[in-house]
Amino acid sequence: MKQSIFAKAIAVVLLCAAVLVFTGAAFASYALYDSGAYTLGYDAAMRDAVEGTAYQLANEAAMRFRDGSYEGSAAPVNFRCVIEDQSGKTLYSDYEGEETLWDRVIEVEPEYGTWTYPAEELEVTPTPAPTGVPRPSAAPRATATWAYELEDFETGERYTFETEAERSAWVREHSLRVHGYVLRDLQPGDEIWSLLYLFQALYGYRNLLPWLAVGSFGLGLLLFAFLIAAAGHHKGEDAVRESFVDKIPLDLFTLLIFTGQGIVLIPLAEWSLPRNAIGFIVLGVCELLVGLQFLLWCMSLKVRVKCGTVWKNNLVCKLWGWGVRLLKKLWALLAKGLKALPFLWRWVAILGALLLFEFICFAGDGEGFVFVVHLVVLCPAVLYIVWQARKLRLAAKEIARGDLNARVDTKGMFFELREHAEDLNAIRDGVSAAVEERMKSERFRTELITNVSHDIKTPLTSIVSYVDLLEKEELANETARGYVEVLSRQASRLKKLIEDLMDASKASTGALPVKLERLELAVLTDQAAGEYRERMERAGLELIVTKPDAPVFVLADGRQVWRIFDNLLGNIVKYAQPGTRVYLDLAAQGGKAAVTFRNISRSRLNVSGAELTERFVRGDASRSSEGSGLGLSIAMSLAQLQKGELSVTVDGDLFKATLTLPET
Amino acid sequence: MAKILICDDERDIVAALKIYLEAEGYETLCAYNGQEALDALRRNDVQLVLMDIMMPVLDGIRAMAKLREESNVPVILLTAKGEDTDKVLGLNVGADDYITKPFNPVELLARVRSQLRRYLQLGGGAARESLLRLGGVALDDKTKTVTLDGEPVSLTPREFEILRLLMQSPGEVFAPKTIYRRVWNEEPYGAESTVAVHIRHLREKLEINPAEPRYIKAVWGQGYKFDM
Repeated sequence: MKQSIFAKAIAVVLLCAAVLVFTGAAFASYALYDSGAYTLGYDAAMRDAVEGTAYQLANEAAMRFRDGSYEGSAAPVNFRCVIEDQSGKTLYSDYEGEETLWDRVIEVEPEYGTWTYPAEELEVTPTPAPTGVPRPSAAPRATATWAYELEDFETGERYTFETEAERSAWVREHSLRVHGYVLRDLQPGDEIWSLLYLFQALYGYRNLLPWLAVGSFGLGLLLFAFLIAAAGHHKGEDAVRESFVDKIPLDLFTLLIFTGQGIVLIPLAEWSLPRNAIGFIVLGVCELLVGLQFLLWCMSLKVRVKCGTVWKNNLVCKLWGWGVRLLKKLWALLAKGLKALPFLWRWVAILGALLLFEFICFAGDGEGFVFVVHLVVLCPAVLYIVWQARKLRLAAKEIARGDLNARVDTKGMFFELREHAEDLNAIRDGVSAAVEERMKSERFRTELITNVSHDIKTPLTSIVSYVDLLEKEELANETARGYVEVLSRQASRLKKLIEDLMDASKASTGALPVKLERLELAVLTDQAAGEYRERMERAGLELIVTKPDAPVFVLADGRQVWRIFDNLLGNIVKYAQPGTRVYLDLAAQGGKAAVTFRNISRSRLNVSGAELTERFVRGDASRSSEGSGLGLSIAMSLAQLQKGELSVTVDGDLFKATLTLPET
Repeated sequence: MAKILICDDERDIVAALKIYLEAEGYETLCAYNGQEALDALRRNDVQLVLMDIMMPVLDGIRAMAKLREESNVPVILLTAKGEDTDKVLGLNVGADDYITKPFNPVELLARVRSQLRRYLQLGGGAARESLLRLGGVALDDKTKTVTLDGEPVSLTPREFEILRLLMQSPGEVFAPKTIYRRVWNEEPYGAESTVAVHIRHLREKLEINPAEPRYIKAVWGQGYKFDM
């Protein structure tokens, strides 16, 4: 229902009706209650209801009489009056003895202004009193401490009195006595008529009206709640979405609504009870306009709260944001400009700006001396220090870049700067010695491996060759043939062992050149799988490769990664149980690429994964099978050389090796 | 019959090589350091040199460089593994092939045969337009035949196509996907490792030691190339 436009429209219409009914009923109830309709009975209440208006009309009549405009056409239809002065003389009358609903006598004071002073301030009586009016005495009495002045606005005359009583007497003297009558036989066309007509109409429902007010209020509240809840929901959409109204900045929107309310309400401030049906309609429409604007504002506020744009979508907030961004940009620009300048010039610029500022601010105020001191003494001092700091900076930069021949020239330096320069030189010497030392030991190690490798391989080559030659000899002795066969087997094993040993020592000492490149691991996996597919099939193994759809790139040395693959797949061919499956999975996650090798071991693995990667450890305790026990160790060292990792786990007969490499 | 110069400071190895080569019917000459080898070369008409790298007086690399100043006789270097840099250096200076110690006699003889065939028999072959020749490998697109050091090699059509693709731009690395697309004319949905299997077959047919290929090389993580 929240999404239905139709339901919302109905709700709005009903809400309008409820608001109108509520205000009408509540106002009527209050008016009836105020006039005593619930306590006094019909006639008395009606009189009471008309009283306020009748008083006002009587007063207006007196005023108009004074102005001389009473004969005008605006006289009320249902009101008559007789105006007398204080002596009882009839000054005006339009009452012709009609039957009345209400009559009263009212004293209407003249229009005047009055002031009170301490008596001494009053020097002379400014004006003479007109004839027929008690004249205040010209000379102030000794007892009087206050003087009372009065101005008749009608004539413009001023009077002075010594006591409050005298002034009151004057006012009473000049009051008009008005007999006001409201006719019983009402004619349409004035306020009294509309008031009493309404009263008569509503009196019959006086017991119903309060309930109507309460009921319509409740209904209105419910509808309002529904509309607020439904605000922002659109057909076929689950989430609350902003419409174009909700995209207007909130403060601007609120201002618009306030202005709208004002446009409607300000003319209404002049309002009195409408004199006819059109007046009531206008009133109702105005009320609805105000109410609907308010409803729109509330609904929009709800949508904004739901979408979290209450604070964000404000013109003030946005202006603030723009301002902040502008300032930041300006600052960044300034910083960038300063940064682009060379070290020394940057400080020249900063000092120049400061001096200029100082010059503008102080030079005119007789502080010229300070400025000159700054210009002549402080600036050169600061620039000298900056110039030395620059030398340190440049030297440190060269050392950081690896140029170990750079020395800081300490001539002309003093205090901490000099110490700093000397420390830098000391660091440089230390680093340079350490680097030399390390390079020497590195060279030594590489040479050692190469020499040992050569020295071992040379006799081995002879052994292998001569065993091979011996095998080709026609040996008559059966036993001798057997011995030669053992020699041949062990020689080839020794050969393999030495090769592996050399690889292991090179890999673990880092004597192996590693050329890191961006390579696609999936391609390498395919290449390796292709190399081994047939060997696996021959060993009765089924190789299953899975890889993600997206290409996985790693930073590694392709040849070394292949050697890791080669070692692991070679192990699998050697040690996996025939008739089982071998899984090779490639996955990328969190900046790392991982290749997982899984297979079922042929013989029982009674060592842990961590032990397997140690040198010379083999899965079978008897060590009867071929292999040096170095394959996993080599693979692990190779992985580490490329900032990767190789972890091996054993779970029963399941052997699992995971190679992790940094992704690029 | 061809005359081969064997040069190694280890006399036992020289003797063993002599036995192998003479058993195959080659004539042999022996030298025990680089200088002796150079002298022997100047005095004799030699068709192939087998030379160790680490030798006293004059090592294999320097001897190699000097030798190339006066002769283009094929040279096979004998290296102990672990001298990768020496090996590369040797090939750059002008060696034609290398064998790592301790060597397999069968492999050694195969390499010797290959070098000799190329040196003695090829070189004067009539050049045809459809013929692609790189090192010891010659591929004739018209007759769909491939020869290795003059000996015909039997390839399947797919292997032939892959080889032709690689040989058309030697040194260029072809991704398995590209090879699959060009040779199979299909999109390689997960069939990339098929290419690797074919490459392996090709290597087994064309290389003396498939683990250390001379021609068809894998650039791991990128693809394959034909290199010399």
